[in-house]
Amino acid sequence: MAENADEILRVEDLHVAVGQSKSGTAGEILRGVSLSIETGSMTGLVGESGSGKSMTARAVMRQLPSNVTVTHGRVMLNQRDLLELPVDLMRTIRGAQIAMVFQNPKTALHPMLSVERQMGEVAKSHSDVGGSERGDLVREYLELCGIPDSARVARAYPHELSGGLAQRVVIAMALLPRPELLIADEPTTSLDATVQRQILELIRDLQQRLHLSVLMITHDLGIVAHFCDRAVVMSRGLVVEQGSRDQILTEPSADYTKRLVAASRLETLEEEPRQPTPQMP
Amino acid sequence: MEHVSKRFAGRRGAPDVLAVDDVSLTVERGQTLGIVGESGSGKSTLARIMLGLIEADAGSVNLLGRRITGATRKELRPWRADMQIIVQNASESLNPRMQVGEIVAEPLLLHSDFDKIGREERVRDLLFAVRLDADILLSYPHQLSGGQQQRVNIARAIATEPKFVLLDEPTSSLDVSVRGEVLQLLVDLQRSSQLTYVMISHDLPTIRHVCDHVAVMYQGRIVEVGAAARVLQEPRHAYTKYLLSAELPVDPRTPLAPLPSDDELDFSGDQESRL
Repeated sequence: MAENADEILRVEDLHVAVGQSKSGTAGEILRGVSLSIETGSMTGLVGESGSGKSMTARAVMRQLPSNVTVTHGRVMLNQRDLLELPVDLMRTIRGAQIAMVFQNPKTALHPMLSVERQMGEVAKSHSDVGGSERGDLVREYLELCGIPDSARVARAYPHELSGGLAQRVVIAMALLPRPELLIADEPTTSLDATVQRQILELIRDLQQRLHLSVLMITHDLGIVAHFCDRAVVMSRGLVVEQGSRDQILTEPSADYTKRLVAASRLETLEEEPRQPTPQMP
Repeated sequence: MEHVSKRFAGRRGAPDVLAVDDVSLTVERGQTLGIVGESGSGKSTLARIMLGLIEADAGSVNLLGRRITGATRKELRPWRADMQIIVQNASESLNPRMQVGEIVAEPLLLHSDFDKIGREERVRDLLFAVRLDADILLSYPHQLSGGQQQRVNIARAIATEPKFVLLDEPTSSLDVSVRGEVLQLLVDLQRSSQLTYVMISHDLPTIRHVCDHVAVMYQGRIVEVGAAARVLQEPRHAYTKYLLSAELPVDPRTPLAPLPSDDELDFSGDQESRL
């Protein structure tokens, strides 16, 4: 595989297994995942539950569960293999270069600390901004994430925030250290649909303004259709297809992708959408 | 349903919540009414009032010619055979210690006079009807996939040959590939058994494909009701338009509906500004 300077992340033949044995393939949950993310793009990583999409993200972050290990492969971030890095260097890269946001914003926030306090901690550990300016920085990032009322939100505690607002705070906190790559793992699945769209619009807006690269993990092809540039489709621990959004959704080549697209559009249903019952004269 | 209301007392000094606010609805026999709305809109409360699982504060519910409101538990019990419910989380509604065969047979013990052999035969027929192999009879719920669990739920719900089934987000915990299969099964069962459905869902494509009529709920009220195709194609109420703007069609060529302006959002106490 040729190295490409326009790629921020390249995962090569990644194998991940449950248990300690490095020989057998019985416990393999990732069976040779290869994918790449172009710099400045929004890439959807799609698949159904158990396909390995979240496990791939955790392997990239080197945050696998304790009984799960990488048995083979490389994770190249800016042409450097993350799997070879010493633990303390990896800790710096996590957050500073790759940030991650999850499905449930409430579990990502410390329930006992105000927004300003926890974001201030992040600012302190990732930059040399002095104490007095830290508050300004926090409010600046809250505003960047579409929270005009930043002073009030900064003083608030997580339980006082709606789900959508909490996710905006989580995103602001993730972006504080100015990462190059944002991994968003089902960031809107726990939100109402109308709030989901607002958060997705926000992520796309930030991606363009900050020239961020985003890996959007989702089971929803509708999100890919309207917010991603590229897509990687996973099934049973393998990448079955990757390409541009339009190619994946309008001319998929893998049978699995074809079935997934058809099922997502409910094309498998025999019945056409119901027609209105004729009005009585 | 006529002028149904339900108020819940606020917890720890919080103000009361009017979960259902003067709702009137009709469902025609053999048809499917969809109820859409976001979390907290009151749709689940409304559905449970319909089945007599929650008592309304005001108003009346007539289902299958029986007055549900005001009926005692004892009166409701024999009627339950005719009105069933299928909920979102299939695994949580199945007893983990019971085998599939026992789960599906349970309502027959309560509501029918089949003997043991008759019950076993009926259970096999039911599994066949929901397209499950008979060899899962002895399986426990945790050994089944999400789709199989929901099929077991459906088999149990139709065991007593109900006339009315409430579908509360029946496919939202399932993968998309399974969602279509389960919806197809529900549509087929409706056709073969003349079932009447009320389906609660926030998934607009599902509503579009399965429902004849749709009611849109917001803050305990029905803000719009009509033929599903009409409501979803030519919404009249601002909230319906707002709801539709959230839909992400699985086709990049279909443009998204414009997000309503702040003026148009006046119907709500906009969720994002709740703080």
